[in-house]
Amino acid sequence: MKFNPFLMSDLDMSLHRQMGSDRDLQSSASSVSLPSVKKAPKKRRISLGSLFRRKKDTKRKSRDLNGGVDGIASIESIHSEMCTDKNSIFSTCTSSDNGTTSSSKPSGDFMECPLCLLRHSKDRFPEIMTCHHRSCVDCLRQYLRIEISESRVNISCPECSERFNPHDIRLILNDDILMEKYEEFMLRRWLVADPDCRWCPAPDCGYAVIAFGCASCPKLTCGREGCGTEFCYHCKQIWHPNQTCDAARQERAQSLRLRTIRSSSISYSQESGAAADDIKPCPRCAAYIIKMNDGSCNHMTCAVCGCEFCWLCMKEISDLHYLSPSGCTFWGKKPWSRKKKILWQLGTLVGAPVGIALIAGIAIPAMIIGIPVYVGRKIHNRYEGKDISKHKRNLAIAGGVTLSVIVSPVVAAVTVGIGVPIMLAYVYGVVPISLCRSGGCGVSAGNGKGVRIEFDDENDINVGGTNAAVDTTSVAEARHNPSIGEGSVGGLTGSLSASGSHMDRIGAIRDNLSETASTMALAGASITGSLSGSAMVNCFNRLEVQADVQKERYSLSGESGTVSLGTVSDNASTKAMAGSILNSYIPLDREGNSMEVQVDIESKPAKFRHNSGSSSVDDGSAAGRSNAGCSSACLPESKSSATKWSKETTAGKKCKGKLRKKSSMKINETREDMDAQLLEQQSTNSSEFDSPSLSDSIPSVADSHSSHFSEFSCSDMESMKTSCSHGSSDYHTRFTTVSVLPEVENDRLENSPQPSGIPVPVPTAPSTDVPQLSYIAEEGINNGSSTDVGLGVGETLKETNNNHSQHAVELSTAIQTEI
Amino acid sequence: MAARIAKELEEARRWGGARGLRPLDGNVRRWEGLLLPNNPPYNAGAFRFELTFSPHHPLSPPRATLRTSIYHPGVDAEGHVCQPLTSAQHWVPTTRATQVLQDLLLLLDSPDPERVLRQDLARELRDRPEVFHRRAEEHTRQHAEPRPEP
Repeated sequence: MKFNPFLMSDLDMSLHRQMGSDRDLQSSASSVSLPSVKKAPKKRRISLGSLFRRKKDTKRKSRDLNGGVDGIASIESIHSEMCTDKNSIFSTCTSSDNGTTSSSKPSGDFMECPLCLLRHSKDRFPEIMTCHHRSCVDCLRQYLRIEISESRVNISCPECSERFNPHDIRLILNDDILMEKYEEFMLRRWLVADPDCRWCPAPDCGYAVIAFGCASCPKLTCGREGCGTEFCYHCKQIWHPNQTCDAARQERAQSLRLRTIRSSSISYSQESGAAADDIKPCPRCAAYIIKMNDGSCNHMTCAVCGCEFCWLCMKEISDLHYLSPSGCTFWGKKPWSRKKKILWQLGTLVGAPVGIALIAGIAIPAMIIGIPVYVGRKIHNRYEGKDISKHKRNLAIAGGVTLSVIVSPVVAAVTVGIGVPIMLAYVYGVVPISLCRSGGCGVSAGNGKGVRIEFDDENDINVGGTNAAVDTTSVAEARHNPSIGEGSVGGLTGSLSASGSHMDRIGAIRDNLSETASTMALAGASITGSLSGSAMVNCFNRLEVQADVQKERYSLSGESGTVSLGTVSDNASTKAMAGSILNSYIPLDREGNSMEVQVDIESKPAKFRHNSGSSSVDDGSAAGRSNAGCSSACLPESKSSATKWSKETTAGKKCKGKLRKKSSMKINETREDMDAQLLEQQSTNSSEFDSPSLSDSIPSVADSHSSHFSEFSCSDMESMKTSCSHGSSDYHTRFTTVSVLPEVENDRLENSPQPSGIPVPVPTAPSTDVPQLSYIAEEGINNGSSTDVGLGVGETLKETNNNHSQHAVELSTAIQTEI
Repeated sequence: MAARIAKELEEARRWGGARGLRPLDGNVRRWEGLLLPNNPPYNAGAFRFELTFSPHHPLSPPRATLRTSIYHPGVDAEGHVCQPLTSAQHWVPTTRATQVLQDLLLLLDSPDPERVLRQDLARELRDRPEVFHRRAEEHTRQHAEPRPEP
């Protein structure tokens, strides 16, 4: 059983739609052409009104209904005109529920209701337009109530599959609130089908916009009076000028993560009373679905969009899903851990040839020997009862055996020659294809490299998931890891694990907190915070590389990037992101910074030069972009577990393809080969994560860091902007507007003013970079954010050469207090 | 709809295919009883089942589970059965509990290849039915309840 509690809560909040007023909706839902409806003769209307008034509880409502919309009343009257003889029935139905009514004609006929199996007088059975089945009005009402409450709007007769006429529903239901709910759900169903429908992301606003042809001019404005929220057509979140959707998302994630770290409440999801496990969004339409943990089947069908998916791995499935070694069973409670899945898949792939060889090795001699023996025995038995001399029988047996000895090898060879290829084809063709098709369950082409990475990731995820937000430890870990300078796979994986675990941790926290937040925020959070999903493995790789690069070069790219992040962006979300990124990544130290940079580089190889300085803004845009796949993938994640991976693959499809394509190209160039394996697995989602050579990217990145930090130019900003081409692209303007950003951002989560330039602890950087950092920081300070910002920046500047972890801790604590 | 359930209990008792049909712990929403399959390999034993009705009965389907361990491809280790009749998609409120029990009994008597919860048993039944029957009889002998006197 499933229902959408969130839809219902939204329903309660919103009654109006951009498309029309309540009344219109009701009228349209009644499926009667309103404009042409003529008003019924007053006499009739009064009689209906009097009927309504007779009801005790809905007195006022019925009066409103009666006097309010003429259309409705006239529909009622028209209906009554059409079914004149049924007026009395309606009167009895709409009158008190307690059975006998004085006004109804007393009928001696009794009918048994097929639902309650009780006998009622015939007048208790309302007439249904669409079919001839009859049930008593109480049962029907109960039935409708349940169906509507569970947001099933294709209500059909309980006995057949004929859909109810909405007017019948209204009459039987006799409940305005439920009827409104019904119409609301109908509307939502229809809107979900409309690809141009965009919901206002403001916290309490239920308005939707049909944004026809708005892809090129993606700034949408909510039409509800008093709301007027501006939001982006593509990512459906608060409007983010001068930023890519991904950048904005990342920023939101950063701010989310900070709030999570700060506050002790880790799981918003727990507030609803259901465990986080029980509420998951549909992989196709992201409608939240709650599944009672009563051991029911895992094969789910979304009530909104109708897609069938597996509850355990949250992927759209075919029938084969439960039969292949994917770890999900019909009644299972938990999907296999990624490790188990991978082990199984690897086992199949590796063990298959062994098994096949064994089978062949046994089958051939068995057949060669067995067939002659069998033939001989048969002939022997055949001749048993016959009256033939022993000599002749032996001759026959010998002849048969000889023949079979000649034939059997041929038969054996043919069998093996056909059977083995078939088995091999299945194991190495069908199984990987079905696994990869289902979204990269973690199986590469079976190569060691890819496997190794997965395992590391697996370990990372496991490790990460168990830890709280102890950022400092991750810093230490990250630092101890071998540098990536050589681009060694081992080093990478090592550092990858550390960063991964840290990310995972953050992500875990993030995910829990933001479960009820906007999906975009969640995605951003998961991306930036956790990067834990398998799709994030690539991010890890990238991240590590960047970290090392920066370590080597002592470039400010990381820190500077983060600093500039806060200062450069002129969008609220960017600023928040910058601040949050800095804050959250302070403990991460290099990792955080590098990640920003990393992302940046990947998404824009042309912009490598601007890496350091531009890392901030670039991070915003590029990070968002390059993480497009990740973020969208992590969209509905509520847990930073391995299951996120699979979810990502399906949910990620909804991400902006445009952005992803951009970054995919770039990322290709910057990826390391070892990422290729992982990337292939997530090919559905993260085209961005293809593997360029890491080593190549490192020098380039390094170069760009040191050389072009100062080349932070407006043109870069411009080019980094995505489809949201609105807003000023002026570099300085960005700085100035930095302080304003946090307030503007309209996240569902509480909006804490982020210190704009909360700078990352600047590591031992070359002197040349420091001035620039301070320049940027000062800009932020000057541009009037809170004094906290200045504080943070000042701290950063002072502690340029301090110990990272220490500084990170300090900063994080400072930041936390500020926030 | 407790009245309906009470009526259905009466009706199911009249059917007679289930022995000892009675509410569990006085809760009329949970029935238990004994099913007596007619076909080998299960006709040597009796199998306890439970039928749980939802609070919204008959608008929500009841759930039937088998409490006795059985070597059957359509019953899993926890006693769940694959029963389209009581699935959310196919359930109609006019279906009677008696029909549910009849369907369950039919499933026990004739395993349906479309209603399989244990692939291994299904394969065995399809490929080596004699082995399956032997094992099922063995299992019935060991785990099923004794058949009551008719």
